[in-house]
Amino acid sequence: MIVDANDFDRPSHFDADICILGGGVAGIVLANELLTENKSIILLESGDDGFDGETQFLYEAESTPKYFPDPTWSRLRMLGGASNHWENSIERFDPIDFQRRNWIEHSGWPITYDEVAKYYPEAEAYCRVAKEGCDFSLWREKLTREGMFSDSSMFESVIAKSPASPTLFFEEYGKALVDNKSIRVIKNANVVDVDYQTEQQNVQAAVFQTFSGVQHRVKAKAFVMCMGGIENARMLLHFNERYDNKLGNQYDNVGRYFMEHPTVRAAHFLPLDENGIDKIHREGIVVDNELTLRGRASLSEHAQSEHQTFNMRMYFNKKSKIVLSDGVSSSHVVRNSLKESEIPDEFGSHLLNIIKDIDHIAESFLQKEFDRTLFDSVHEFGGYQLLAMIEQTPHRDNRIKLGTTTDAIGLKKIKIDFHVTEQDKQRTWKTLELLSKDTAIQKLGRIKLLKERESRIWGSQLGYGQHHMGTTRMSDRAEEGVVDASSKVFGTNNLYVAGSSVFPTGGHVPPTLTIVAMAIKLANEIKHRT
Amino acid sequence: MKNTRREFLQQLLAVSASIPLFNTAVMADAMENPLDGDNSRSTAIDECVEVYRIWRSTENIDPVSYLIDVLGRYNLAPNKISSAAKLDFQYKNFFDVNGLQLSKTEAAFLAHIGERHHT
Repeated sequence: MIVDANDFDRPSHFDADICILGGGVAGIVLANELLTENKSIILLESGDDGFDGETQFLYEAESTPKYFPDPTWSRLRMLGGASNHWENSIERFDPIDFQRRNWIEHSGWPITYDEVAKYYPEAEAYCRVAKEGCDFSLWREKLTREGMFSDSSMFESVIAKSPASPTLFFEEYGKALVDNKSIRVIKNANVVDVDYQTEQQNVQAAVFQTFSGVQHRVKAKAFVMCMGGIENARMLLHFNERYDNKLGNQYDNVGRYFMEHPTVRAAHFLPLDENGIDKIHREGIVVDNELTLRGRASLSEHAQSEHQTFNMRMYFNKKSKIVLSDGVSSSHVVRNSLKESEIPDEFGSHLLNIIKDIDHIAESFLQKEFDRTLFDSVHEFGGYQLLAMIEQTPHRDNRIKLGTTTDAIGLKKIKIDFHVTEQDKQRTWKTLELLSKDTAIQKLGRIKLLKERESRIWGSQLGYGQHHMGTTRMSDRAEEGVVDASSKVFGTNNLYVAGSSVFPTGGHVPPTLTIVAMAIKLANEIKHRT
Repeated sequence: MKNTRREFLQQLLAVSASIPLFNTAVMADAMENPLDGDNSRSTAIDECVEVYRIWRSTENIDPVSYLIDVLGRYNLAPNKISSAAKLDFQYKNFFDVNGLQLSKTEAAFLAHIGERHHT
């Protein structure tokens, strides 16, 4: 059943076997997996089954770094969570993502790839991409030519899958929860505290309230935090203010090692043949009107290890001359620097680019200011823009912490510290250089590295996957993590965390499939413990 | 309208596979066949001059001497620029032209043409 906390006009008490805090992807999958176990479940969701502005503003941050996406809007505080506005591009993590790599500090999971991978087929069914396998070789016959990297010694082609329409998790799986008598979904229920018994190390109850301020309690045998990569950390920090850091924060790890998927446009690919990139890499293919497959470049695990670098999710996107224009980009670099009363590095090169591409700049101005076209040729094919989503090295000082101002229900807002390290920037260039070498050897074309645009690439042009990871990281030692290999919070017997906040490393692909697989895995563990 | 870097590169790599290495007059003739407009030759030559300028500021050997040396090292015939280029990339013998990753042999070839037009 589904009930609205706004209808509770006086403090209420509930009992359940399992209390799930958060009704996003992880919470819905977890609840769905536990339905068959005849256990009573209460799922608390801050939002409603539709968007509500007042609730959404509970996500507002006190401060964020320059150019970092506003967390008020990069998340959705409602049933189904971020699945209500995601791209639904699905990929599995790789075995190397779970290994300790001596060139990536703080890498290594306390569980193996195989322990998670056995749940990937079921997770793909949840995400509605289970129609065909992920193996690129299955799709060769559908391609116009052999796969782009079939002769490569370093790179391989990988498939990203998306269903024709994105999977909205509450819309898809909510009815099963609402129709089941053993589960009660309580919406508009903002979790504000937990009752924790220090000696027994047990969480006794979760406390939630509405905007009216009336508080209610849920007692349960087990609690699972499924509030998202930022909010899991925020709430755990909040709980720990009352309990002297006994909940997973004995070593000040909650909120730290925050990772995103920075996305860069740091190179252009100039093909010898405009159609030299096969269709699946160039624009993707649609299968039976149900599934979109898009090929991309992936650096092999052997090459990552040999060159001590990381993988990137690299797409080749066809672009016109004006989009790839050095002159247009240089004009932005120069203008942004002059605004700060500075002269940019490589000023001479930028001026030369502006002069050489003066028609591109003129066209760009005309289009923006007057919506007119003067130089038709600048809109012709210019090459491919390489869009790369990078793996971010976990860094202790990238973190979510509590500020001093509070939101509408009295909880401290967050402050975000985040930066891309010089090491990660250098690894990005290294992987792109390897791609330069490989595409040249295969006679596909040449790559131009856009190092003269670094200030923009890592500044105003830096994109993000909106993937929030690592803030309650998993470890086999409390000194290095927040949760153990079973996703149980250190220092507790019955508090668990689900979602990408437990990821010790973030890989280079969207986390949702792995979030779903881990939620299924966690459900299996909880079944045996409650 | 002007030739683009991509189209210039396409021309270079197409002709370099077939013409004798040091027959730069033939190369210049090849560049005079415009893809789209009268400015293509002058833009291609400008690119070569730019490559020569970068070569001169970074290398201690002139382009011709380098080409003789690399063909000897790879044991290749004079018209095998594309073969030399492939070997260059395998051995990470890059040459960076304002971010564009060329093989050093390709760059030497372009620099050699650019040297003739450099003032």
